[in-house]
Amino acid sequence: MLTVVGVALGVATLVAIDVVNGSSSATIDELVSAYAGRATVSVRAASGTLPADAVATVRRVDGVRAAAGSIQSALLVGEDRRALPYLAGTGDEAALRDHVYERGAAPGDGELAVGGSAARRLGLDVGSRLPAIAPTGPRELRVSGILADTGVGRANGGFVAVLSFAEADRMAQRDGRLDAVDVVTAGDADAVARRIEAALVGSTAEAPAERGERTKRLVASLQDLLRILSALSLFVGTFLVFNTMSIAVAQRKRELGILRALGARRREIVGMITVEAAALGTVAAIAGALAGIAMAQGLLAAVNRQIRLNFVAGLDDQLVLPADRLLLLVAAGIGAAVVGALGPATLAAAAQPSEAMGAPRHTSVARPLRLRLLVLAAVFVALAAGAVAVQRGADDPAPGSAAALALMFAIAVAAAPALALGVRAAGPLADRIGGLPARLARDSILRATGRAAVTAAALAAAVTMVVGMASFIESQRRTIFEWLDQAVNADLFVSAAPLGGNSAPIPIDARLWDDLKRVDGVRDVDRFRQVRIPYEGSYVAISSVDIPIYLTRGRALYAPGTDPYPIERMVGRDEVLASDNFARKHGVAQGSDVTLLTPDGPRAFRVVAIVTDYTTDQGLMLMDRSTYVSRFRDEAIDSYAVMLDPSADRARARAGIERLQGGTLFVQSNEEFKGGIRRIVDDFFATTYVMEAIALVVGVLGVANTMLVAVLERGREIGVLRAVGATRRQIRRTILIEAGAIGLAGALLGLLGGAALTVVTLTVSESTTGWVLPYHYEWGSAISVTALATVAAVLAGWWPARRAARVEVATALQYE
Amino acid sequence: MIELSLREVTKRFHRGGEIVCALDRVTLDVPAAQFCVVMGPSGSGKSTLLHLVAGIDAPTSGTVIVDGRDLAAMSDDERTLLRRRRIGFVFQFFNLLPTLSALENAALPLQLDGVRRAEAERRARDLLGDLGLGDRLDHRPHQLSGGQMQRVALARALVGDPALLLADEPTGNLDSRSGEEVLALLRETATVRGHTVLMVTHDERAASVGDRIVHLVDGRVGSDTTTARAAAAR
Repeated sequence: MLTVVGVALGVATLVAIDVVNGSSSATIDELVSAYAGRATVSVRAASGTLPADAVATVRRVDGVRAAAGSIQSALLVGEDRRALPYLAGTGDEAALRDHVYERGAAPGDGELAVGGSAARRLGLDVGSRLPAIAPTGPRELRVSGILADTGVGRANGGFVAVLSFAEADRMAQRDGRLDAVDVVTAGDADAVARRIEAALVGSTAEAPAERGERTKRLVASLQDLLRILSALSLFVGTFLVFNTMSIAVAQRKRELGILRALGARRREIVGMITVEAAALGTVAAIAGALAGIAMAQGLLAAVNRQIRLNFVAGLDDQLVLPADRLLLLVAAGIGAAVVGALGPATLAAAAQPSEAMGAPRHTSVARPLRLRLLVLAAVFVALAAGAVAVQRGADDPAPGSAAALALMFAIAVAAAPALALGVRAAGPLADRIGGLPARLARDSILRATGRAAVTAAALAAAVTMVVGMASFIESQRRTIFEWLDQAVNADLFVSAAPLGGNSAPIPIDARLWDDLKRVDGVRDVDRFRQVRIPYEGSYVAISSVDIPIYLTRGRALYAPGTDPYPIERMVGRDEVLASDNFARKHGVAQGSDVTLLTPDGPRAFRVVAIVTDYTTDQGLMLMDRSTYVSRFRDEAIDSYAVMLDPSADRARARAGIERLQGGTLFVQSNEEFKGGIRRIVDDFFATTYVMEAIALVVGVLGVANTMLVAVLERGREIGVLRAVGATRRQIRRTILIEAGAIGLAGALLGLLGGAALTVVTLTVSESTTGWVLPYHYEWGSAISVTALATVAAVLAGWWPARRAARVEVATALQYE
Repeated sequence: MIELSLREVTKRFHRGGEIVCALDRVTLDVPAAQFCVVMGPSGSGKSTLLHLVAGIDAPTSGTVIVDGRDLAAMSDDERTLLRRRRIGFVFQFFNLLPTLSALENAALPLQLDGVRRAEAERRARDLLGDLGLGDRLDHRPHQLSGGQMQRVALARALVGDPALLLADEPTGNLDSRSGEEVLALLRETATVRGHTVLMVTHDERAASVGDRIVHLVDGRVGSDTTTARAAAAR
């Protein structure tokens, strides 16, 4: 039963994470490919939007067969103002994308067509009216048709809409400017793409698949973190399998001995046990896969919230379950069961039949400290340290993952000598406190150090995960929240959608600026806009604010070592403040120039100061709005930061703002805004707690297992103790002390592991995001998880202890 | 004074759907300080008898009285305490705890009874010295010979100064010289220390050291005779 649980939990975590990561990626892919249709090249502005004549320009390029421009944005719909992504095409739309209607027809003015999923979830049919919020305010659109699940209709799993170009252009205040031009080419697509980039200054042209890959790379660091955690969970799960198979073998030692005595060959014994493990593993892996899918549903929402916030607006939470991947993961679970069984099976087969048949024998005391294991552990620690050093110069987390794995191996290998050392060192004191039961428990551990160590190692791995992640998360939270408190200082934030809510920011009506300033109690209003542009193979965020207003509400948070700069001078000049992580990732210093791709081609901007900023792990550059608008030809606004008069009645001012634009604006106070960001950060990290909890549960189950094996193997000894006068209570106490000692040892080892894992995760984070986070060891978690692991281990020992106390003395003593 | 008394004791087991009668209405009284030997072939019920007397198994019917107390009327804890304080147990395979030294093994029942370690070990040390193991105190079981192990087991059985010593084939796993030494010690236990001894064996020579031999056949008392030694002593 425990084998089943062990494998099932391991597979469940693996499946959950894989399904979540796969679903996010598949949905991104689907969105990109369904939007791109038959395009071989997709053209986008390096920043902002493409000019209105982009389609005509592209059509003139040699090798272009057809070109369709599109606006790709989102409407806010439903009570939770969920983002419904939409596409509105112009040009050779029919040559590029299939618009197939299940019912109804293509949208005209004041209309939209929706995908199947959107229709179902929003309760729409042809002729229904959908209240929506566009940047220009509330609109009510008539549903002209329902898209079939093909072509554009399958984008984002069918949670998508199509608008007429004219309607979208009006609603998004675009004046004909486009988000993308998709192109069907003749001949070498790459060559055509280069010609398009030359013809359309400030554009990037690439295959849609490349774009999908690049978008997915944005979320890769998020996914890698989850993947490392799930792999560690399986690592712990394999321990449990090893343990459970040891039980199965211990229980059947006599039977196997008889089989051997009757002529069964060693490999037949190994084969028998392995086949049994595979059968159990199959049941467990299937159960685990089902549980994993259920878990994935919950995790996906939290992970996608992060993705929507930072990268892809309106990404839908749809679970994608590729059968081949699931089969592979189930096979991995069965493999883990077989691998876990091989050790005990080989040991069972290696035993002499007479020995296995149960004739009493004298087990020698624990062997002297295993120096070789300690040396091996040191080697793994050195490998981990080496991988961490490599990670410092890398921008993908592979060396860090290797370091985490090496660390786990170091813990696994060090567990036996560490346990022996610890038990010996604590022995005299434990004897004094715990008396004879403590002494017997200690002897039992020392006698079967290997088995106890496997369990301690599994627990240590789980505690390592918990403490390491808690420390890493706390390092991040403290830093980010501290920065948030200093950096976010407007009184109110006004946006079209809840900032940090269910969708990425979508632009807000630019005309609101004047209205806002007229509201009673408002002192000033800052316009905020942020876009992402390609930079040196990845992206950089370009933020713009009204510097003079920005300065009235705060000050620049200079990074250490940066000379202060009179920021008011930035107005109207090609000057930027670079975030410290951008500077670190790209080797940019104060006073140097960075070249950014603008609609007019590459342009140099002077980095006048480096500032501390935790907005995005891609790095950020902040410039004055006037510079941004003139250089990037983008007048859109994401949100307004409102400063109130110190004497103003805040509630009244807020109410005044909330009345604007038909009451559809989303207004948040400083605290609400920061609270929203904090919640999202915490929500995401909460997903990691699930995995840590599973690892801990698996680890504790391991203790139950080990104690059960110990009880089974020592049945005779327990019988003797009972025969010479040990009470049931004394037997129980012996087993419980042993379980607690293994738990405590595992936890203590895990505390060290956690400290090391924190270094690994902080290094990965530093090299992939450029953020240097101060090391913070989360003592609170360390202490509570140690107590928890120990108490849980004692509880896990309860059943084996009960079983030991109830040993039938006469039966246990029988040897004839 | 009667140390041990069995009245109409029957023990039946279920085995493979059949009911096996290990002991069939056995009645037996063993007076204090008697060395009583129970003999019989394999499966005659001798070990079962020993287990019932030790209170580690319960009869199907009948009464077992040890040290004046009816075992059936006692709780498991009470029976355990009786074993700890009033009964010593010697096994064929010694059953010493492998991680404990000779001294610690011998002191075990006292320590289980909450006697301070120093005191328990002092008493165990004296006893092991008497049994000729004064120079083997810190040896672990695997460092001792069979005869030495059985003497440690005997010390463990005697350390609490029990009224009744139970011995289950104590020479069954020993060479003849060691076996004789152990038998001599058991004999001395009854004669000099005044302990009642109930020994199970199928070795005629071993049986001859006792005062009385009870033969079990198919779970019943086949014969109950006084040995030549006892007759001579009388």
